[in-house]
Amino acid sequence: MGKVKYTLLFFLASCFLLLNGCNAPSSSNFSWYDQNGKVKVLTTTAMIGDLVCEIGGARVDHTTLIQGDVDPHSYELVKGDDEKIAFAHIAIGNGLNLEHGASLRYQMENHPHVVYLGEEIQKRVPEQILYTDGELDPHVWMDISLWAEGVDSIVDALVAQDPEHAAYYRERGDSLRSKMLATHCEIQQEFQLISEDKRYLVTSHDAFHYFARAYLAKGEKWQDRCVAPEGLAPEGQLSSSDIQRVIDHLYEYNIKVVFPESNIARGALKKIIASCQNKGLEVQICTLPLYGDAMGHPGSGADSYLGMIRHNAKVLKGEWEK
Amino acid sequence: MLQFFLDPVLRAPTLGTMLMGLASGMIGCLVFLRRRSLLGEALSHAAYPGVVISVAIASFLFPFSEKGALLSILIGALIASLLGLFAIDLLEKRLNVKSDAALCFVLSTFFGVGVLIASRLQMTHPLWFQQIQVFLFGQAATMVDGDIGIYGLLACLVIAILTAFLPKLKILYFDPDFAKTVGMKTQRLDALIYVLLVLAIVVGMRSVGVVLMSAMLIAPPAAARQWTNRFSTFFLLSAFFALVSGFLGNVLSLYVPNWSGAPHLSLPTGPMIVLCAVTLCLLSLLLSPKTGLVTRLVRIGRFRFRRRQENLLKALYKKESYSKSWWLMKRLEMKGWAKQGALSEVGIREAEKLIRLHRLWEVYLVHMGQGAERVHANAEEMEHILTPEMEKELQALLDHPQVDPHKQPIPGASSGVSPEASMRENL
Amino acid sequence: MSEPAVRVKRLTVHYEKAPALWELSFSIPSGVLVGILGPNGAGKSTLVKALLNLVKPLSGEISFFGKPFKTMQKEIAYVPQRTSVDWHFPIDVEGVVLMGRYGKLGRFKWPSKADRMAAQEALDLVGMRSYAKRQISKLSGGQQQRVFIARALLQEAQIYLMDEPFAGVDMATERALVELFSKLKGEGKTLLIVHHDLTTVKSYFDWTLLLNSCLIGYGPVEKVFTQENLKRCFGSSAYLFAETKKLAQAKSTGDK
Repeated sequence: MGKVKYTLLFFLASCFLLLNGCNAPSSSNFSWYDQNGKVKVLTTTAMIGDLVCEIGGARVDHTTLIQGDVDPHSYELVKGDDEKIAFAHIAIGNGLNLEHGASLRYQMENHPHVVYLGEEIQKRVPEQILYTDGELDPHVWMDISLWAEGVDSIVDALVAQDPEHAAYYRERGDSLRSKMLATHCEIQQEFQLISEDKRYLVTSHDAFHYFARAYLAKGEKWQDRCVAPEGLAPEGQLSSSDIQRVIDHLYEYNIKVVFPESNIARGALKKIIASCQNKGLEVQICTLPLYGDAMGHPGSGADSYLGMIRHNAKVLKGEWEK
Repeated sequence: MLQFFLDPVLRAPTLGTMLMGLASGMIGCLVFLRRRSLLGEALSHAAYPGVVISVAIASFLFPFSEKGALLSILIGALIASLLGLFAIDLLEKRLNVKSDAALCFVLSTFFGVGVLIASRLQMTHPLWFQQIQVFLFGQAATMVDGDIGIYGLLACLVIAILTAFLPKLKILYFDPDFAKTVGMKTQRLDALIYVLLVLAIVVGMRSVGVVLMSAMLIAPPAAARQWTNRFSTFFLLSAFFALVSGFLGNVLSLYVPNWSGAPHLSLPTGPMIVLCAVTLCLLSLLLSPKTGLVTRLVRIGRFRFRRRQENLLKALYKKESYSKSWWLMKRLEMKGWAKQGALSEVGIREAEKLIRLHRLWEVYLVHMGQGAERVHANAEEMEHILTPEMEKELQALLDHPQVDPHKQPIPGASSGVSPEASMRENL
Repeated sequence: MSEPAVRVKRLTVHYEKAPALWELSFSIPSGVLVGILGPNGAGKSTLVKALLNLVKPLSGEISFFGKPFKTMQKEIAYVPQRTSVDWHFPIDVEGVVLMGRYGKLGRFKWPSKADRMAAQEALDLVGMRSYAKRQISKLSGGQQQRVFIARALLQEAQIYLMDEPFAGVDMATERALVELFSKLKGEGKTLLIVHHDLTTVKSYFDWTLLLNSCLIGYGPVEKVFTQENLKRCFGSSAYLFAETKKLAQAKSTGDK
């Protein structure tokens, strides 16, 4: 009996060690709870967090709730999150139905200074916001020009909290906006150089509609440029009709390569590839992933907002120019 | 329809889910017969921590080998489920916990451990977490031909062994003590069945998930039981219902979005299969010819209608008033009992039969010790129910009585008194 | 056969949920009809189960015609209590009766025509000729008992162990069954029957075995079925015995 107990304990211990050793590094190296006179801004996604970092600079302490490859659609609060949120002066979320998690929504809504960036952008340019089957598409950060509209909202929030340094924030906001718009034009031009019949994007879920409209379509319908087996939120509930729809699309536009996303399992794409190969259609899965709902890991080159979009553009260009 | 077996998009999900259904439908029969249907629920939830841990281990050890990952997940689930079985047995036999409490305890404890580890993985390794979710809710649509090899093999193993042992299982499940006394190795056979159950659950998890697996174990046998009372037919029908559910689930999952005009509507295959199975079960409970609820209601309705017709007939014969509906009269005429509002020959004989049965029954009840004043109401009921055989027996028993307890004559063939004469006496 | 049909030496059974048996020793010759009697909780069913190897005894020996149960398995037929089975099982009367053939059939075979005819004969013997295809859920208590006995007949055994075959059975059935048992006895079979009705013991059985966890007596009815023995078995002094037995059982299982 002793032997069995021993092996069991060893097994359990190694499980726990394995799991604890694989901690994703925390995004901030300072203590969030230090009373250091800076403005504390909490953001839900890292894409928002990156903007806050650029605009706030040294005057702002910021932390991101949804780190690494975690799916923002279904994120629910974990231990310590509500304290983090409570300690923040400003809480910024994406809105537009990105954050489904009820606990997260509840905490955000009850914060005294909450800003939903997506909804702010919607107030400024309502006609630019996309709907899929009547549902709001929250992935506005995939279009740099649209995301740049949010810069002013962040600046306003920071100014309201810390009016002393208003000029500082405004200056940084303006410089960020021009940088973003410059990158936006750059990428647009790059894609113009690629032939039209190559510019068809197939990914894991419907995160790239804004991207397709901004960079892949030339005025006409962008819907044909972008298809994915899973919908706006990648929940893994697929039916064969979803797979078939994507395969029909691959046939119609003679698409040779599909692009996986960094934080979504590739089961659906693998099924699509296998079925196509069986039917004699040559389709491959790209070795490098795209970044849709999450930015890259530190050091990957895609660990900032502009880095992420640039990386996507580079990967797509790389495959389509072959 | 053949495309479901040939098209590379559809054939793996269709075949996989049909085989899975076949295995679980058959093994579910045994669980159903033992009235331990909750066991399937408990064991499928107990498999969850096994899936979680083995996904973590497999992604760590062989991140690029599909087959390796699949095998280790199956083994992990198997081990966890068997541990759950062992725990249930321990609780029931050694610790004297009642069966339902033991099942719920194991279900929630094992599943809780699984959720605990999985939610940690959700933060640290989201991709692994998504792999786990595939087994929690099932993802039939992404099954590929390679999966069919392993799952198909396991399912066929379950089916083959069950079929081979069917005659023994009949005895074992009806009368386990008797089985032991005639030399059957009952403990070994029981253990084998439990292993097959766990195998069927593990195979089914890929299609319908941990959460819905128990439906595939319960719904097909419950449906089949409504249609047959024979052991082998019970198994065959259950297997048939499971196969049909698997196929229909795939068909609906593919076509309903198109039919309903919302092509982006996504109906995952696993839940559709379960819905089909449950619908078949519901329809069986309502419509089966022997025990269906609707069938029974129809039978009751027909009896009541016949009774009203017969009462009308009697009333016409006795020239009493009775609330006539036009339809009732029409029915009597259609049966040949009446013609233009008056009774025909046949009708008169039918009426006399009713009265005879009524009065005969009254004599019987008095014979059994009932007071004469209390027998009328019951005889009103029984006159519609007694069969000709019973009438013969009553006549013999009571020695062909001529009058009822109220001194009214009993009309009839064996009484020797002509109907007209008895009527004249009455008047 | 010179060996007794059933010989039990110092049988002691401590079975958790059932009454204990203490140091039973008896031997039953072949060709007798034995009634096993005792108050509730005396261990009558436990004795039958121990004889059938369904319950492991703590100590003691059991032999049938000098041989252990495993060797003589094919010659021993068991008729369990009617209530021990779920009568809503999807099977017909013939199916149950054919189970008696299991020992002779071998591993995976289905019953043959000859087997079915034998089943029909057995049903005739118990007076259920036309019931072969009837669902067992549609049977009355007496009919259910008769089906079990038909199954036992199909086993073509030498020794029959029956647990309360007359429980819940109507008088007509009971009389018919007693006749059948006498016929079997006439053929040289040995029948051990757990019985509960003291008034019919003298007319039904040759031998009787009085039991109240320990053996009060066994042997021909005239010798054993006496007032004194009955008092010792069922009387008020037996009540004390039952109480102490309950206490002893509680100690062994750790109950309060």
